[in-house]
This record gives sequence, structure tokens and C-alpha cells, in this order.
Amino acid sequence: MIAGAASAEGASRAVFRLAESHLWRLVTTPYAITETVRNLAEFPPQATATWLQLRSQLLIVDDVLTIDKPAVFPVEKDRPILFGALASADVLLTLDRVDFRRVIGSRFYGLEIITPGMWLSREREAGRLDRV
Amino acid sequence: MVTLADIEAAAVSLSPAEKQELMLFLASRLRAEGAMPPEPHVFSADEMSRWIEEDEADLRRVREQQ
Repeated sequence: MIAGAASAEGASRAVFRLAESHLWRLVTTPYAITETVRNLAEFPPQATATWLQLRSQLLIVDDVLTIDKPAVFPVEKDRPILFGALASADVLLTLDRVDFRRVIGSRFYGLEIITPGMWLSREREAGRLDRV
Repeated sequence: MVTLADIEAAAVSLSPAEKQELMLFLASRLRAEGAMPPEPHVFSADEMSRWIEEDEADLRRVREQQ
């Protein structure tokens, strides 16, 4: 969401742009929104203005802070992101290759964790995406 | 004042069923208290710039697939 707001030329913004026409439902949590708003302070004001527009496309579901499954995930701050996605989504899109390095490109209890670019590429290869 | 030692001594005198009930109570309290969300990540400007560069490069790659 940070990258989607900060750059019009990235895969993240493309996911927002293409979501409605491709019937992708974009889901987030209050925790992720707080994180986005806090970090957008590092960018020019236009990024926050864009974020307010992108935000209207998001379905906001409750934060999930614990799960009833064993979860060995070293970064405490990313657990709400991971658990929220596990509860409400099929795929978690993230650019955070540092904190999610052990799980990116793989699955967490069936939840796929990939980058926005990997998502677009996969949809393209599957013939579900004509133009980006 | 009730100390932890007082509570432990009292717990010893409980029946097995009451001990189990106490344990479940404590577990639920611990779970509730531990369920506060952590402070959100504050990423460095460098880290976020790197993400954006990678994200833009990813989109260029996808466009080249077309």
C-alpha cells in the first residue's frame, strides 16, 4: 500500500488500477492502514493524497493478533499482517523481502505470500491479464 | 495485600476441577493481555525506496511479457 501510494509506475499501483476490472478483492486491516499512514510521512504530500484515493478500494477487515495454529515468525510487528491475511485473503502481497524473506514465494497454512509483481506476472501467464 | 505466595497457597487447596477452571481463567487473561497489537513498523526511507525501485522494475518486467 505504501508503494502503491508513492509510485504510479510500480506493480503495486497496477494491482489497485486493475483490481476492479479483474474482480480482485483488495483486503487490508486497521493495523496495516496505520502502518501505511505512519510511513507515508516520509514521502511528499502527494503520496498521502493518492493513498486516500486508493484506500476507498480496500475492504477493511478486523485485525487478527493470534491464531490457533503454531506460528514461528520472528518479526512480531508483521504477525498482524500475516494473521490478518490468513483470516481473510487467499494471497498476501508484500514487498517486504526482509521480514518476509523466509516465507515470500511460499505458503503459510495455505496463504500464498508473493510480491505484487509476482501476482501480476502469474495472472499474465495464466492468461487472465491482457494489458498492464 | 494478597501476594503471589498467598494465591499459590490458596490454589493448592482447590479441587482438581477448580484448579482446571483457574488455569483456563489465567490462560484467557494472558491471551487477552497479549493480544494488543504491536506498534506498527516504521521503515527507513532507504528500505522503502528500495521497495519502490523493485516494484517499478517488476511492473516493467510484466509489461515486457506482453
